[in-house]
Amino acid sequence: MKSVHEFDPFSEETIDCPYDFFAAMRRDAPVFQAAPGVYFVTTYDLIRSVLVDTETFSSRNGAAFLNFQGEEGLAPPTAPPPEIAAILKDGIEPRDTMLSADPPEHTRFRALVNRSLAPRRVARLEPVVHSVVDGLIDRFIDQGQVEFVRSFSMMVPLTVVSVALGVPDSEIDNYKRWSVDSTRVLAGRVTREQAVAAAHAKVELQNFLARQVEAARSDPGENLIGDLVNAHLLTDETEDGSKDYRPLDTPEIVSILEQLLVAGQETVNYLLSSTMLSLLRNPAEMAKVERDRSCIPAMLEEGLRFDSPIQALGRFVTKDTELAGVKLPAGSRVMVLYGCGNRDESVFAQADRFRIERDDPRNHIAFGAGPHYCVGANLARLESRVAMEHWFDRIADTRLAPGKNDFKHQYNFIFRALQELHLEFTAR
Amino acid sequence: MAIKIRIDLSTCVQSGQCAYFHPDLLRLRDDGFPELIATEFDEGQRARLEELVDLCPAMAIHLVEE
Repeated sequence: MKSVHEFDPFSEETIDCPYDFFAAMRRDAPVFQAAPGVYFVTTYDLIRSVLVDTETFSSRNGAAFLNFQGEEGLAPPTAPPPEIAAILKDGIEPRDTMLSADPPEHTRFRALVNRSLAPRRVARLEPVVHSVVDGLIDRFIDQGQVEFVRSFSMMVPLTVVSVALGVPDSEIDNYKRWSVDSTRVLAGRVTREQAVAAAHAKVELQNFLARQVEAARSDPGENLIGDLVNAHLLTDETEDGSKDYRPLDTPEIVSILEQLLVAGQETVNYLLSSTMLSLLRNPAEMAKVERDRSCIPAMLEEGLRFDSPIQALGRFVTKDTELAGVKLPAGSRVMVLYGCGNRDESVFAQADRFRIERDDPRNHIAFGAGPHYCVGANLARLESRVAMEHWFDRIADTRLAPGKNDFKHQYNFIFRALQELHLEFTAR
Repeated sequence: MAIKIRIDLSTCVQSGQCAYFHPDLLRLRDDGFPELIATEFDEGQRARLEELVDLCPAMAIHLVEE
């Protein structure tokens, strides 16, 4: 096995398959200095300990997302270039609401969204998810082939979320275009033209969401925007137990919605495409699903563990501290590598194998842990389960289209994003 | 009939939502896991307990009827 220093964390080979590098880090350097002032946290237990200690490891400073796109490699995030900043000025001013906040502020915002995404509320969306998934399959089932990402895995969450938000039918096509264009910039290397297009799309999406919020103030629907318009944020709590609340302003609601869109759409896309690829590479596991639909939830948990859609997120070190013998100075940044912790052999037997039957399928940290644990986990589980159930109910003999797949992933350390998956199949 | 709460710590993700919303029922230990303050409840508190079950993002809180 290669030593950790023999890997180039920024090469395309590492991006396409980071797992040998991850294994070397867990073995040689559980807390690995990847760049000046930047440390990777790589084992399951260390990751969980960082995520729970929000006083030492803060989500402020933009959740410490790292710039992993330019030629400069890994560096702390920088302000957008003037050309992009000028475009973004026409959008909605950014607010620290959830992803980039710490308790107690974080908890107060989160509480409002948690209610809308609680299991019972999410379960009410199930009929919508069924009809969305069936409608998407209708479009390609007669062709016997499909590019799975663009026609299915990307479209399932995009369409479900647009319904959950109450996007009017007349705006659905615009909404989808804005979401796809504005999130593309997050998922890999982009050209200047793409970055400009993404900024314009982000501004259009923000202004569209702001208009929806304003409309909901006079007529709040039974959807997430309606919930947020009616919600009351705790602002003060005194010793004697009296509490003050205020409604959310429009930039706050837009900030929350934007985070939910990115977090809720891209991740489910990556989960579905990576899991489908894992099944194709493991025919015995595929056969289990073909035989018995009831193993789909466990199969998806294994997909989350095996190729975690969000591979890493950042935290900001607030005070001098030490982790696994490594000194972390105040002001440095850590990246917790969920995708690496999920291959930790001390927790998962045969961690590098995709195995549907595990004793404790939900033991992974693909949704994180601690106060920032994925607020949309229940919705992600619902969407991905229904998508796979309908796929296997209507489609038989799913196989890779010969000669068309290169299995490239987006050049990005944070998302595990298969770019294309060309399939052939037989309609049942 | 008494109602009890059972928390499955093996699926708990330490989100802290339970103790935030119901500080009189649970508190967080230093390691971020919850512990129960009250243990037995009656039928009159059912709606509130169901809300508690529902707010856990990991679905780690269960009601046990005895």
